[in-house]
Amino acid sequence: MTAALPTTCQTCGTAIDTARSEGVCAICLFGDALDQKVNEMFGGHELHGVIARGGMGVVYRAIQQEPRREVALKTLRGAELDSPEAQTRFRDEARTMAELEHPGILPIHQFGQQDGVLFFTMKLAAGGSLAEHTADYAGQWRKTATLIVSVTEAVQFAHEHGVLHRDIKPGNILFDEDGHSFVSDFGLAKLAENADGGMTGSAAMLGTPHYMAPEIAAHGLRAATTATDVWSLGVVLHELLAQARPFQSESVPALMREIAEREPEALAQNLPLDLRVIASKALAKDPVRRYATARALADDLRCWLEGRPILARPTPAAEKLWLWMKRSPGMAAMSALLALLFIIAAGLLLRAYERTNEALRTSLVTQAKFQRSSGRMGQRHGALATLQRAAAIRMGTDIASECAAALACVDLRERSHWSLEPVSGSQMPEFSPDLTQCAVAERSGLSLRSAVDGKVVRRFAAAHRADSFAFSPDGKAIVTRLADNTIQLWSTDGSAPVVEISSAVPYGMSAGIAASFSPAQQAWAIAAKDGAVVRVLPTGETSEWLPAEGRIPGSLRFDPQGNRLAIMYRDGIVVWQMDGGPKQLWATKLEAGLPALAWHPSGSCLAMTTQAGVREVLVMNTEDGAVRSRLRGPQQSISRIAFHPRSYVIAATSNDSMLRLWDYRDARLLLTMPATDRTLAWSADGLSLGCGYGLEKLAVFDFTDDPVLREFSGNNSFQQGVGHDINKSADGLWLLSTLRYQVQFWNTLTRTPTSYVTSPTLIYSQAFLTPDSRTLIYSELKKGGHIMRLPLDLNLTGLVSSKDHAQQVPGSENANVIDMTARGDWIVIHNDSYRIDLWPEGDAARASVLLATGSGGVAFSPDLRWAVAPSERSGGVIVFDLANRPWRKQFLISGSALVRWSPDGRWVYVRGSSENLLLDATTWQEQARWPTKSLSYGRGCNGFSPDSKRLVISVRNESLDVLSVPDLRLIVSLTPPLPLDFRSVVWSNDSTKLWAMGVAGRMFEWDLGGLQRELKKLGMEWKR
Amino acid sequence: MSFPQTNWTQVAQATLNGDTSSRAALAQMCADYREPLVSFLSSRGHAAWDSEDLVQEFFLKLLESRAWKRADRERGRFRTFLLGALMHVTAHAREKADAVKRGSAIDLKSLECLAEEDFEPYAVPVEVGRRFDSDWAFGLIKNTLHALAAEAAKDGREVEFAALRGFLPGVEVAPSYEELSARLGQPVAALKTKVHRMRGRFRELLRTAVARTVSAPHEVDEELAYLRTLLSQNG
Repeated sequence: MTAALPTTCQTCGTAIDTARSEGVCAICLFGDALDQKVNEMFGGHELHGVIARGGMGVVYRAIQQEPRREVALKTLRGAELDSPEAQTRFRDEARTMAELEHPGILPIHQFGQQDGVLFFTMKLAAGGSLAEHTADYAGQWRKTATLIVSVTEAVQFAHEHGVLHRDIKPGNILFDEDGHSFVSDFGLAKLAENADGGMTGSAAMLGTPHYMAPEIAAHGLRAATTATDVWSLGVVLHELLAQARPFQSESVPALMREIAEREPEALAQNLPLDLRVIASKALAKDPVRRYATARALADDLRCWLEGRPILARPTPAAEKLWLWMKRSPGMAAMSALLALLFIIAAGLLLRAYERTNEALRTSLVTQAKFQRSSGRMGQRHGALATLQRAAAIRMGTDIASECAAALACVDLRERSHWSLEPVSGSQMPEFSPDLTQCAVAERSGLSLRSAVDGKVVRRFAAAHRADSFAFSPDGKAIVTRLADNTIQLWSTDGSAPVVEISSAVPYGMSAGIAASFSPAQQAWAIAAKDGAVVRVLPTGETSEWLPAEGRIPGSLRFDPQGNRLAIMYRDGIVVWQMDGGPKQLWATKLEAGLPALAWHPSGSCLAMTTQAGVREVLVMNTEDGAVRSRLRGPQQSISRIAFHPRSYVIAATSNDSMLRLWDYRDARLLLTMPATDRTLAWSADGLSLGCGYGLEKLAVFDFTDDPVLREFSGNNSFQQGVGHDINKSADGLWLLSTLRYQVQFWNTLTRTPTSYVTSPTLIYSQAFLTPDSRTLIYSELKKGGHIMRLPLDLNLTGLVSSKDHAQQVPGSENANVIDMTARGDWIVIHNDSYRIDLWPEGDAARASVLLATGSGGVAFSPDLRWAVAPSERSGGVIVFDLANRPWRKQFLISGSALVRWSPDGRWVYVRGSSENLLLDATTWQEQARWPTKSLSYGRGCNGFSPDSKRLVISVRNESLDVLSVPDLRLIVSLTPPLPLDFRSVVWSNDSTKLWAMGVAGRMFEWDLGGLQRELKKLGMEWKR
Repeated sequence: MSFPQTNWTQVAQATLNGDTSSRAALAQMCADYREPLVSFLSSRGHAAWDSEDLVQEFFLKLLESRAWKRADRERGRFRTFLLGALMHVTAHAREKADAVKRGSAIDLKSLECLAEEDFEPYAVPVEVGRRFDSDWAFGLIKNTLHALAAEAAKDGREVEFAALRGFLPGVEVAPSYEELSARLGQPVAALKTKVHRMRGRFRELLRTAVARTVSAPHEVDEELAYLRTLLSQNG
């Protein structure tokens, strides 16, 4: 190994430290980036800087030499230069533009290529694009209409020539010096018509989301019709009239949802009515209701300009024709097919068919990706259905990976629904806790009905209308408030009220009875005018009075254990401890959004909503009232909140008629769907969700969480901390995760935490279990470090304090365990001398030296014959033969290396910062060297399966690639719905599962066996 | 180029209580700053595999303790703040006098000082700051090179890239186009265009990487100029 010698740059002559800059001259390159002018000759043109960059092209201002004139020169971007697909698209664009000779379409001058690089030149639109001039149209209705007419006519011309633009936006509407407008950039045009140009990933993303029509958002570019371009023109029209885009969400998925579900912001009343009608017709969600042609839009605008009545309401003849075509796609397709059959030979047709099929497959996979990231109901089921269609063409790794990602998303699917006629002034039905029945208000009293079909099970007759009601947690009692303020307590199997309390005092709020039952206290509580009454079950006698000091309780809930009562007021929340006499625990001031209030099933947190500022669900820590999470998204006030009984999902309905599911720990929105806002409940098993759906319907949905990616449940749902590493017991039954001051044990069958060990001192990254799983070995980092030994019974749950039970291993001062062999022998590094020893079964007295000087990163072969050590100085790894000391071999790789041995001792995987290596340990030859897809960290994120046939490596800390060994074929790429920044991964003993720890200590299981089963159910062949 | 979210903005939005995108912020911080900070620690005798843990813990503690809130974003570059904070931590560890050479244990524990009320990042001595910044500059160049190589690899152009890389300014004498043309079987003119494109792409990637670490688009050029001057002066 030699130190890198400075040499000089061939360009600027300054000294270069080659090791630090990999031989390039950083000074020159920074200078280059500073001076980004392009001033070169290209295809007979002098380039003068970049005007615009798109997804695949770059446009330069250029001077054509012969004849000399200023033009715009468009060429492919560097990354796309060699892609045949991109070249085809580029040629298509040029040809399309050349064919479309129209005064409103940017004329093309020349198409050519230099040195294999395609380019074309166009008229230089020196007046810039509409994107820079939108403000010029503020309040200029006639100017706006005139512009849109001329743009629309150009688009109509393109349509008449069989070309859909599909990317109309202000940036593609250009002006010359005289202010004459041109439509440009046909880069996305006409893709679907090309046999081999299906919707590709990049094409899908190329379309500008703000101007994308709902049908494109839902079905991709394939769904494009003339009406799609009309939509985009409508968006531009709206934007110029309102000086704001009709849909403005920041993120793409949110924007897609907005486009699909929300009506555009209403145009101001001071705008001419006819223009508003025209813009609204152009922006009709259903393409059938939209102007079917660009001409129809242009005609209507012209009518308005000329003061004639607009035609927006009647259906034009062209639209009738269009509707006929839509209604009779078979007829249209048949005539096209017959024509084709006459022209194309059968063989050619077959090839075209195959190519189209492959293109279709690509679009389906892309579409599935889009569906699963849509955040809408059906995100999983819809994506899987699309992938089934793609797999029918050809199954592949990409489909398996997409399926895994889709299966990792939560979803809802309707199981049943029925319609009801609500009694006015009453609350919506309330589901029983098991979701099999619901209580429904009747004109006199209430009824209990089947949640599936609405059939009446029992009637509770009363003199008045039942205004509001609530179930007890066991579903055996209902408390109701009648219109005359009488409170009744019913047993669900009785026919007369158990308790009836008449009162002149108005109880509770109009929104609900605000009653709750406590299982522990055998009591129920009702909100009264200036406090809360707690009554004894079943007699109804008052047992406690909780004064509210003049405030009116809006909502109250016992915690699931029944020991605490949360009472919500307009200006805050108070939590009472109820056992042993009521005592106020804490109170928080906030502008409350009544009556949404819910306890977490464990009682550890409380969810509510505020009226002030942003509409959000607040999740509070019930110990101290601290806000732990803020869940956002609802546009209007939130009505109901419900925690999922088993997972980290919380549901809320709001007045914007949407139901949303979040992961309340990281405030991630999981799913949205349309729902009415007054009814919401989870079944106790968490498999069903009941809510109001559509117009006066009550529906039950199947809730599916992840069959392939499952999270381990934690006893502290907000657990934070750096997860260092994980390890497993020899029998694979237990996982150990090391956090800073804690080793947590997990049962891998139940995926629950069992015991945990806390240490007063920081713990070194990995902890080990002896092969019999009866002793924990870990290293503490106090002073120079030492090793601790702690006898354990992993079947016991609860806290084990290492302070009381663990013992420092004799002779382990200044030492740490870095590995443990299958036999239970320890590999120990001394932090003062860096010597690495082998301690048979942890016995320092019998220690033997493995390596005289090493580091914590050294990996030993299972038979301890070889050591592979990362070389800190020169990068790469050095292999030592421990049986033949002088022998060594170095493999260079950039960056500090991480080394993993395959359990059979045959392979060594080395991860560097930009490359991976697979070494054959029988010959010490490189089996493979391949670049890392991106930098990833985490010491344990890479590893061989126990059968040594699979290797998992992390990609960008986001997904895990499972590769076959030794041919490194990708088997599946596992992408979770959120970036988990996997820190460490271990395989289950049967190689069917991957257990992974995220950076914040969250534990997950990827079930490859489960994935295989799910794929089989979907009719897909895939080998894990 | 749309201006990417800068590290200041990202961190300001992040808390560790799941309020917003804390994990995303942490991941981005790790991606951008892990290497220079690990390299800083390594230069002070920490082994890389320990430094990695330490730096990650440092980021988490920083977010958790909200120590970054005491830093004034107008006061300087985000990385200078990070370095100052890390220097405080290492100095704190030495004060405690239980630091042993390469003893990462002590440094992990000493991260607790980030949570102290009066925590202030150290004023970074000019020389240390310059060295760190020059590490940073080289890191940017290296990451950009790797990104460029990865793009080429993605399109199956590894061999071509390895050959064309010699045309980036540096110690290698650029090969002759004719010789390369014979070797790669491509016309000279095509190679010239490809070299041109490669350098263009390098510029783009480098500017984007820099843009992520400054507060406003106009600072990109300032930062590039600063880094260039810094490296020229260091010789």
